[in-house]
Amino acid sequence: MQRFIIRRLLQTLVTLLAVSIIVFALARLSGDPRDALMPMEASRADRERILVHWGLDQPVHMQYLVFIGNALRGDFGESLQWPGRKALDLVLDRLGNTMELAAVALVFAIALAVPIGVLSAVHKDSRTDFLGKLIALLGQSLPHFWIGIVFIWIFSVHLRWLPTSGRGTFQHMIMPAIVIGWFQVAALMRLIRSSMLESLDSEYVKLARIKGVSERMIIWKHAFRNAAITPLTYFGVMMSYLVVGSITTETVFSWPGVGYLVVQAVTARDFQVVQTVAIVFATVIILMNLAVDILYAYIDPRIRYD
Amino acid sequence: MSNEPTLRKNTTQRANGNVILDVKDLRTYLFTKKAVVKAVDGVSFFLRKGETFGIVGESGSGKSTTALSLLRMEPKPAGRIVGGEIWFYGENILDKNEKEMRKIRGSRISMILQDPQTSLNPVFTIGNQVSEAFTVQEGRKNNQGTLLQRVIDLLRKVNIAAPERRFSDYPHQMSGGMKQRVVGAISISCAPDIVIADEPTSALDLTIQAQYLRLLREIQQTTGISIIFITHDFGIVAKMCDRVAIMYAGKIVEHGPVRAIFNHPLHPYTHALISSVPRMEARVERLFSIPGQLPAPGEMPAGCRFAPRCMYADDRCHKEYPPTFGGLSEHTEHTTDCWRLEDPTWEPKSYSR
Ligand SMILES: Nc1ncnc2c1ncn2[C@@H]1O[C@H](COP(=O)(O)OP(=O)(O)OP(=O)(O)O)[C@@H](O)[C@H]1O
Ligand code: SF4
Ligand SMILES: [Mg+2]
Repeated sequence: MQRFIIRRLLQTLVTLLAVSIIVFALARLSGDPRDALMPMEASRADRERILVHWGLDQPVHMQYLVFIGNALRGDFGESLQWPGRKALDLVLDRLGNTMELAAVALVFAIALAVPIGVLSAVHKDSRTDFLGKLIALLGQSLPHFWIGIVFIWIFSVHLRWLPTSGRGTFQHMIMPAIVIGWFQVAALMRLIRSSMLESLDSEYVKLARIKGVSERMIIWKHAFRNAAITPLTYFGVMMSYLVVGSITTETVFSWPGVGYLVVQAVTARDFQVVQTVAIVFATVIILMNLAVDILYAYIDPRIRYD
Repeated sequence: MSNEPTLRKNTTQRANGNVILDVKDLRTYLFTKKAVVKAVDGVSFFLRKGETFGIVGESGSGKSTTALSLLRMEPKPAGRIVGGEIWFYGENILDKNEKEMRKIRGSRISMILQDPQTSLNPVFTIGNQVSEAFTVQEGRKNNQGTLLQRVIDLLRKVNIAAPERRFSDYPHQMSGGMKQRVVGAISISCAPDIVIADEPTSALDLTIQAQYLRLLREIQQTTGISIIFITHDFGIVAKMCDRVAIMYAGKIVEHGPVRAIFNHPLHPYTHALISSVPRMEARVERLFSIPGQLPAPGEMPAGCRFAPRCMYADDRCHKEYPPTFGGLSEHTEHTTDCWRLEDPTWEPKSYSR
């Protein structure tokens, strides 16, 4: 198990390195990176300062080392939109809000997808099965911003149950979390349904029935415990959707998270912040995948010793 | 179409005494999208206390479906028991509801599934799965200490070395033979009256097969339970069983004491099956095999199901299912479904070997 974790940690480091190279390269693809990094109207003095700061007068591999060195010290440059604020501070200040929303969205997605997936497998081809598919499909086929606006229109404007935007109380979180989480329900539920069908058809479920185990225990203990393993591998992918989904949803609900920030930064051509968000999002997603893999190894005994 | 047995000589078809399970005209059909598969189509047999009863037949003849039907576990959702009676200690199993069936499964009738390698749940330890067999039937009245001790004793009973260490193993850490023993242990955990043993079809490994047979013998010697033994191999039946039923395409075509059938098979199919068993002393290289194959589910012959492959078939065989005939006088329980037995002296000829 220890060796497994060490191996996975090393893989994670390599992936992070790759991300840094990609981000570094993208900024330099179009000739003078200052054209991408700085607004057109930047002053000559500013351009000089950046040239020295990023070591742009040096060969490419040296530039990369400078970039990495700065990054490791947490220096991703200064925001242009909010002069004097460090780009990383801006992003980290909001990361908590985004993660909070993603966590609630995840809980919502699981809370909906698990019972729907399990029930539609148990009652395959029944009305429950159909209804489950319908709910899931709606969430996946309607765009985030559209659901968000419709929600605001119904629950905030008409019913006046929930606040339209901002952050503060739990009520503020409900709509954006549902919008982000709902999208995930379809994929997750389908995975749970198909792996439940497989489990329910297995010999070990038959043996449990032969032992006289009750149907409830068959479903939730014997079948679900196995069926939950496959969807777990999807959690890594799902985390990236949750993070990416935050971009539109946070904007619709003016949720003060990284997604909202990056949209503002793009509009203002604040490249330092955009670049920092790319690296922070990538790091978060990679670390989540690492956590999922380790969790997976704990849940599935067959992986531990391989 | 349950035929009253026609007496060939002075026979009585049903014997009394210690019959604990009496299956009458059982029909389990599988309603698939393409066709209605009559996997079990009017099967009758009985089981005495303490005996080993074999069910032998080719792959797809309906053996597993028959066995699962006894536990009311016909393959869902396609499978349904559409007729018959299963009398178990004077009560018809087909009248029980699901809750009553859960009390019977495991504690009174249990089964070793055809594939013991995959019948253990990969995410629970062996100890967990064996002790579950106790707690499901008895509730949680045992304290953890005695429960643990009972599981260890049980594992020892099926010859698992160092059971106190094996207890916390997961199935993937055990060899095939050991998993088979664990499944065997689970099947006898609650001292059932009947264990149904569905022999692995792909028992390629002869050592594992030999272990399995030894395990069953041990189980029977230590507990005195009745065993229904399902296999392809008439040679193993001859070694293991007291009585046997030969199944073909959802029907039992011949039924009786193993000795009688082995020495004097009356049904052409049984005769062919037995001719295909290698005899140790003869050391035959090529085995006799029956030309043709089981009829496909959609194209069940109207008459005798074996007719397309039978060298004795005539017109009537193709049109009408034969009645059940009794056997030779000294074997009062021997019955056969074949038109040829209208002639009381008829016997299938020896195939050249
Ligand atoms: N779940 C199912 N759905 C549809 N048809 C099935 C199902 N299970 C079995 N059958 C069909 O029912 C018939 C009897 O199958 P069964 O498994 O009882 O045969 P068997 O004698 O046990 O064969 P084997 O020796 O290969 O185990 C076969 O034609 C098989 O294809
Ligand atoms: S009834 Fe006819 S076809 Fe069937 S086994 Fe007897 S002889 Fe052959
Ligand atoms: Mg079978």
